[in-house]
Amino acid sequence: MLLVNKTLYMFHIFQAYFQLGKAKSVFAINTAVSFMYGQGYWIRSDQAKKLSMWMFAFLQGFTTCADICLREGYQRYALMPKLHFLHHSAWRLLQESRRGRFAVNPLSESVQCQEDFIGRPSRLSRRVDVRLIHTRVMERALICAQEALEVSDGDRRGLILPN
Amino acid sequence: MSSWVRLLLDSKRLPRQLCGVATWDQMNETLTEFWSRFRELHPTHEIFNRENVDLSCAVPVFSHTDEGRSYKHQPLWVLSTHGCLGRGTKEYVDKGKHLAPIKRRGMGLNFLGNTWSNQFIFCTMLRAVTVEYPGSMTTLLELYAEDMAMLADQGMTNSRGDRRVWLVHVATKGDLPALSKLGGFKRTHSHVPKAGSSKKACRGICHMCLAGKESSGPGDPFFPYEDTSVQPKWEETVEVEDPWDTVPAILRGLPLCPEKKASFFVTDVWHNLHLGLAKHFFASSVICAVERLDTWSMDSVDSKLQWMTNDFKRFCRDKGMQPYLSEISRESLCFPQSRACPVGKWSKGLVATQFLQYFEDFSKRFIVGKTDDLVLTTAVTCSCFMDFLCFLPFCSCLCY
Repeated sequence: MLLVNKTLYMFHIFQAYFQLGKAKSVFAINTAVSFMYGQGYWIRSDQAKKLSMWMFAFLQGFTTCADICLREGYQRYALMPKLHFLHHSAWRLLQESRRGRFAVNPLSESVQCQEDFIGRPSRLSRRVDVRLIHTRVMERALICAQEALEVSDGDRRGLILPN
Repeated sequence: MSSWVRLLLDSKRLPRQLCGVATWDQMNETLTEFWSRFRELHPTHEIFNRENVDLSCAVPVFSHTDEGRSYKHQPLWVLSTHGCLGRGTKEYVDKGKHLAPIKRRGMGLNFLGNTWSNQFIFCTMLRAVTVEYPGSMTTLLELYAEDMAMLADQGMTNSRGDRRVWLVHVATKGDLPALSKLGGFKRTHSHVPKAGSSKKACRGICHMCLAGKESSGPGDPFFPYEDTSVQPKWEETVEVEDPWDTVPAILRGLPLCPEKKASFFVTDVWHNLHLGLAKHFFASSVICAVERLDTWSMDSVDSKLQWMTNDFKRFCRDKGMQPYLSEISRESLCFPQSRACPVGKWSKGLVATQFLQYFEDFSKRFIVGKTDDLVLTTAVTCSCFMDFLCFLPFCSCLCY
């Protein structure tokens, strides 16, 4: 059983490398980003594998460029910790695509909308009495939330409404 | 958060605002499928051991912490919660993917809609207060964790008591400094070595694995974080050693995967790419193109960058895009002299998106099939030779 599992794993890795060989680095990352935005929270395993390979292609292209430039004596393509965290996303996608029918879209962990949200109470906090800032911000946040909830009742995007 | 849940239940908005579906029945169907997929990936998650929890009414949520700017630029810390599932992105909805049968449905990301309506604020605190009362943030996090633990264990009913939901806090997200502050990590991104050698060995740069940990003596292994292969050396160290001395307050009482506690703190792919790697990638690639391509009709770096600026503006016009930053110059690339390491000087993710799309277009016209320079061809085409080298260790593994 162990041997079968190992062989399957190696086949999976081989398949992954075959796909990686065909990928292009800047094209790969642009494709990966557009692909992630077109998906939901879950991505089918075969597609997740493809997505992780696009991400790997970019990461490996980046480190290869850094290596060549360094050998030639130029400081280009600085390696930074964010490289490793992006690598974790690609690595996890590959692991999850092996484990189940679906893998989690890395974009679900993005804070793009939350960055927008953080700006809202921050903006409110610039318009209230600084001595009562915490109370006033929470009170006004509740008013804004109530208004937004009422508006969202009429928003049908992405919903399957019953007949 | 329990007050928010009660409000959403009473106003019958919970399925829409926390799960991105229209009705209670659709929510039950979606959540049943969600937890079935989740169980395949995390079979040891403690939520599956709780017999009192009805998974068709267990809503998965994320928490988020970050700092905004308040009056006179004072940092304002905000802690909020939102559903993992939502109505989807614009592209997802436009393609009609939300209409697929449940077994094939990707389930929308929480992107569409006013953020006041799908992000639920827990608290805000000025940094001045955190400094004045050092334990205040931990106290707030403890209160939040206690509330979330109660919502995962007993759940919350509506005022009439006929509907009950549970909330499962599956992860917390934020940028790297926020996560490291929240978790009190002893291995963080800020430990990255900045010099060729140092007296003290680096303890590691990642809270999830030992990547970046340098050998402190003979026989002590080293796990380079620069290893970007499909099976990196740090793989064997994932979740082997806790990144904290005391368990972070936000984790208390929560159902978790016991062997994956550090992975509860998730990093943001969007930050890592658009506000990280892409800034370096675009800036370095542009400078390499300026220095290495022999098709330029002008001599100076400045005039070549000016040409690229005009070319970028034309690209945006053709694509119908509004450029957020339209200047490609020594200043925007932080490249005062040829010995400097170029890096983008912008703080908006959109800029990197637009520049990367432009670089793809530029490389189709001037790099692919037009030059054999190794750096430029690698920047657009991943080296197959390197992949082959990476593949060799697996061949040896097969023999074993």
